Amino acid sequence: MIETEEPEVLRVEAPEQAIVTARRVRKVYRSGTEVEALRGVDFEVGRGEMVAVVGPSGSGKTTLLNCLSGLERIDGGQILVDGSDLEKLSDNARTGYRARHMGFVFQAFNLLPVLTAVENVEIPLLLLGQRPRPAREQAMAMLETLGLADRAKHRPDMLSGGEQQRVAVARALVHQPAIVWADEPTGNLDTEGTEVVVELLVRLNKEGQTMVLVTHNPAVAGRAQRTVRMRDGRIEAPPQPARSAAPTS
Amino acid sequence: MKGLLLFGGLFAVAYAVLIVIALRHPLFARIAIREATRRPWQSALVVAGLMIGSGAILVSEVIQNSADDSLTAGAFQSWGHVDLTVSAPDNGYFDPRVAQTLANDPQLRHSAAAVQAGVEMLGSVADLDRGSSNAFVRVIGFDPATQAAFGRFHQLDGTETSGEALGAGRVFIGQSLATAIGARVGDRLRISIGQSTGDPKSGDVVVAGVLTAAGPGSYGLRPAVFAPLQTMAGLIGTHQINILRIGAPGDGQAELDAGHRLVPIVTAALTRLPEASQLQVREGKADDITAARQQQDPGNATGGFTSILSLIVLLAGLVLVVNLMATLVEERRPRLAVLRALGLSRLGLIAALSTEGALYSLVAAVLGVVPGLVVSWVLVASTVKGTGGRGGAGAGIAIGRDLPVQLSVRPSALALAIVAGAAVTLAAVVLAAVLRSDMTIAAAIRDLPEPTNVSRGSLALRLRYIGLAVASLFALVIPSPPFPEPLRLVGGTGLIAFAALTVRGRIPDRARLTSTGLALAAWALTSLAVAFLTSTSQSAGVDLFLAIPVTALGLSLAAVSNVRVFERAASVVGNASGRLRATLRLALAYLVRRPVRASLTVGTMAMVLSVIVIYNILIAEFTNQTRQSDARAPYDISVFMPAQRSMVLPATLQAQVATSLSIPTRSYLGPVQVSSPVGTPALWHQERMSLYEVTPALVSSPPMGRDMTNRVPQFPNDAAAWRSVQNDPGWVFWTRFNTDVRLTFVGPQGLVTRSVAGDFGDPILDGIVGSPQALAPFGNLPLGTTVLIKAKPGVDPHLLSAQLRQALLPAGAEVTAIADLLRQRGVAFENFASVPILFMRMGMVIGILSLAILAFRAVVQRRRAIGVLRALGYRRGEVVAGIVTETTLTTTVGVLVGIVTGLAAGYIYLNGTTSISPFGLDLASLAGTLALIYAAVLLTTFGPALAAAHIPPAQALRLQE
Repeated sequence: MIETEEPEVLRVEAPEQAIVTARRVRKVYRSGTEVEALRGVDFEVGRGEMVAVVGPSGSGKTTLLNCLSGLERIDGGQILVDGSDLEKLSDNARTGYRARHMGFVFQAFNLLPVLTAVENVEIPLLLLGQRPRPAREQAMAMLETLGLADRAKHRPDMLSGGEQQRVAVARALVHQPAIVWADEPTGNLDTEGTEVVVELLVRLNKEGQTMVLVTHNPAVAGRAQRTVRMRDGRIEAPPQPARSAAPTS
Repeated sequence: MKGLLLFGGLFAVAYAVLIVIALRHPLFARIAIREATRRPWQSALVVAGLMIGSGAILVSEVIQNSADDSLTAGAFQSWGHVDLTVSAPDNGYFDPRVAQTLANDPQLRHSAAAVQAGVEMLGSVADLDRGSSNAFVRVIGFDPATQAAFGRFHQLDGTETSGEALGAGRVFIGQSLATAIGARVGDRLRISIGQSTGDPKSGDVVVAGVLTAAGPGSYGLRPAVFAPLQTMAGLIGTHQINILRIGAPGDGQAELDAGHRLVPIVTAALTRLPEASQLQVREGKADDITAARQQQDPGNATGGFTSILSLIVLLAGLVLVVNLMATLVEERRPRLAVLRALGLSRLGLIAALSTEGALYSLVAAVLGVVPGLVVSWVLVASTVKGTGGRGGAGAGIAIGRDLPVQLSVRPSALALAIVAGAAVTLAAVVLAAVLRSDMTIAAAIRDLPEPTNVSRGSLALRLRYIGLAVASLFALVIPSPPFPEPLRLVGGTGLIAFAALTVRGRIPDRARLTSTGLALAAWALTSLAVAFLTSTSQSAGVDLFLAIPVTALGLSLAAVSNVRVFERAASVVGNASGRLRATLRLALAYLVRRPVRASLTVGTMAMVLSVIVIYNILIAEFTNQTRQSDARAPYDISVFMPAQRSMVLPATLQAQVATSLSIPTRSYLGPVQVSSPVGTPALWHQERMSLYEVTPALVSSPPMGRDMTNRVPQFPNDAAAWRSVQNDPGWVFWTRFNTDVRLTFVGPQGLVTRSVAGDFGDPILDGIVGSPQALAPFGNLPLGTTVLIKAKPGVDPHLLSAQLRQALLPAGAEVTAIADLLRQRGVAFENFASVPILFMRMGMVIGILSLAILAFRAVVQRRRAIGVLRALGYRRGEVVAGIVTETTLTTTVGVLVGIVTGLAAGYIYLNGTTSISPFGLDLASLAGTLALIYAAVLLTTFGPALAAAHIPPAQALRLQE
């Protein structure tokens, strides 16, 4: 079901070390009245960087993340992810690109309720066409890494919120994506759960994983290497130049 | 069989593809099975709704098969082992030695099983001991010496005989005649056999036995007397015969095939006999069976119309299936969006969803045959009483015969129901999956409504729109036969849909959907009106099939988009309306949130109800006609004497008669071809007809008054139709009038074709009414008379009828009070209407089920929302009231739309087909139906609503997928 060949994509020269480059991105919602959710946003994410996007409700954080990840189409501007112009890709090609190069962590966990933890984690691998047995082994290994091996056979309704989100993180990472998008990853968690998940994300970033996370929580944002503040569909502070964030350990 | 092959092929291909997908992507199969088993009750509910598909298909098939098989069995039964007949074109006598010569023909002796000399006449029978009579009896002369080869007669007392022991003047009678006149063994019968001159040949015989309707005793399946040729000669005054019966070897289809092979052999044998050169060979049995197998239903004036309305009910069932699957897909939307975000392609999503749908479809299709069988049994059992009567519900082939309809469940019907039900349901799943797979993933993950984008969609989408517009324009502007009007309707509908899609996002949705809905309804009704004015009835029938759903769905869309007016209405209640408004607002919000889906639900109910309303109009029209007939009937008594050209009354009775009208009447029993619409190929079948001759007295004082009930639209008024029938031998009136009918008979000089100009709702003259010139080719048929009598004031017509019956008994006259004839017509109509009414009830069940299932699913899906409402301060009663209000509103909108659609389509139908019929509504019956619908809907919704209201708010709020 996934495009197995690398899709033909338009390569545009991106700044060195930048894995994500957004230029003058516009997004308009029209439902009776027109709402411009993104008003010409310029944004970059460096390879291996962990960027937190913060801002008040309705400022366009989630819309930016959805547009950058290709979950939503944009109405103007350009988004390059690792040199690929997502907007120029067909739906199938974009889907394939997402499957290979991206991972997602949602606020509401969004695990499939009918599948066990390990079955949820192996979904991206199966969608990429991997054989069931190695996929299962890889998913189990990922759960072990995250300390969830003993919960592998449990369904989501039998896990705590923190455990569910850790399973979601495992699902986002199992296929070793180039970038992980996390939308309020701790929004549904208590303090202890938040701490566990944030520590996990920071650790993974230190291991080289590029991450962009949207959050309301200043403590979570504070753990990122860079924070971008949004208001009324614009980024408040001028974008900082992308810098290398190679693993420090 | 073609349907089975088609759907079987689709089923096999679809499920094979899904199995391959499931094997290649075990994830899909795993998710499908887990989803199906996670909430067994919810899955059971989905399956219950989907069972409508195979159930409705099975009912439709079984009813069709039962009718086909019963007619076919009846045709086999009525001919027994008689496969071919040989007779003169004018039914004249010929030498009985022809039979012997044929029997001795070397080729025939080798190929045929039996040859019998016989006589077949039409006559009347009076039971002199019981004082009863029957005016339309088949008098059958048989040769006991050769009878055994055709089978032995089965008597009511259990014995069997070939009739060798029958003495002179002794006869058998069929069971139906015995029942009709109350005859018993030993009774004296007077048989009057009509002659073309009108001077009957009569004779008295004694009943030696009553034959059951089995074996040769069922010959013709009509009231009959079986007399040995010796006795027959005494009755007709000659030892000559007028028919040869030839039997082929074998049984059933093999016998039929052998009979067909015999035709050239018999023809060749006849050409070798100079005295038999005028004789013709007929395959009457094969003709009847072919007509029965092809369900030729010429006598049933509204058979095609009923089929169309039944198809609409079936369509309503399919809409329910689509609606249910759309709900299922909607429920899965957030989970599917997650998979899309993780990299599942659109095609993969469709495949995943279809895999789950395939499970439901298969289980539902298999289980659906159970309710399908139960409903079929009820429908067929109700149909039995509707056959065999005078002008009754049976097909033309069956009229006047003792032909019960038996339940016929063919394995092919079961197989078709399962494969077609599963295939159609699966198609609905795939359609719903395709439509919903085009989702905004970010919104779908959080279960938010689809955002409206500024961009006008992808190139592929635009190309699809352009394709729709071009195809619609083509259908609209360049219509091609055979159905130009339906094509135009479809074309216009497509263009309206295109316009609605094009302006999406540019104008407010409410205005867009309202105008789209109204435009669809207006276009469909206009097309229907034009179709009935300008086209053949067949084309107009297709238009009716399309116009009702389009109108119902269009009006539903417009109504649902504006349903908030109810809220405004609630606001006028005043100060006390605060909570009421809050309750109502919620119900309305859910209703208008997805107007297209809601209009599908409303449209399902509306479609079924519109069909009910149309039947209601037909019933009201008939009742109206009957009332008018009763009021305007200028005569009190009908006397039919099939063998006498005149009636002589004793002076005492003559004194009680105010006026009378004599109509020369000939009796036809033979091959008839009914082509409707004119030009449509039709099959031959045996049928009984009375042929009434138009006389100046009949023109000046028709039995039911001058006003006609139905008339071919080409005649601007009744007078024009009368003039044509009087002056043009090509035109006749026919009691069983349908639009656009041409009749073909076999006359002595060849085929006789007559066009039907109309009828005047006349149960008194049951047959063809034509000018002397129009009936001239039938001069060889027995001439009788029909006398209509008006009693003097103060004379009781029933008493006078009884006295006339007594006085005219020896002549075999059938005397009937016209009030009784009108009542019989009412009963016949009720019998006829019982079948479609049962179909409508099935439709009602579909409509109610659709609302109940959706209400139940809504309750299940909204448990979290209900928890929020309860936390916000909604009382339990208000939660229940909100849910019940939502369903009641849906029902009410469906009812209103259904009534409007039914009234509009019914009005157009009646005006288009009859031009002159009065238009009315049986309000009492409609009110009863509506009460039943509301009661059922409330009953089915109240339980789930109550259960939802009792969920503790905290528990409901914790609910999450």
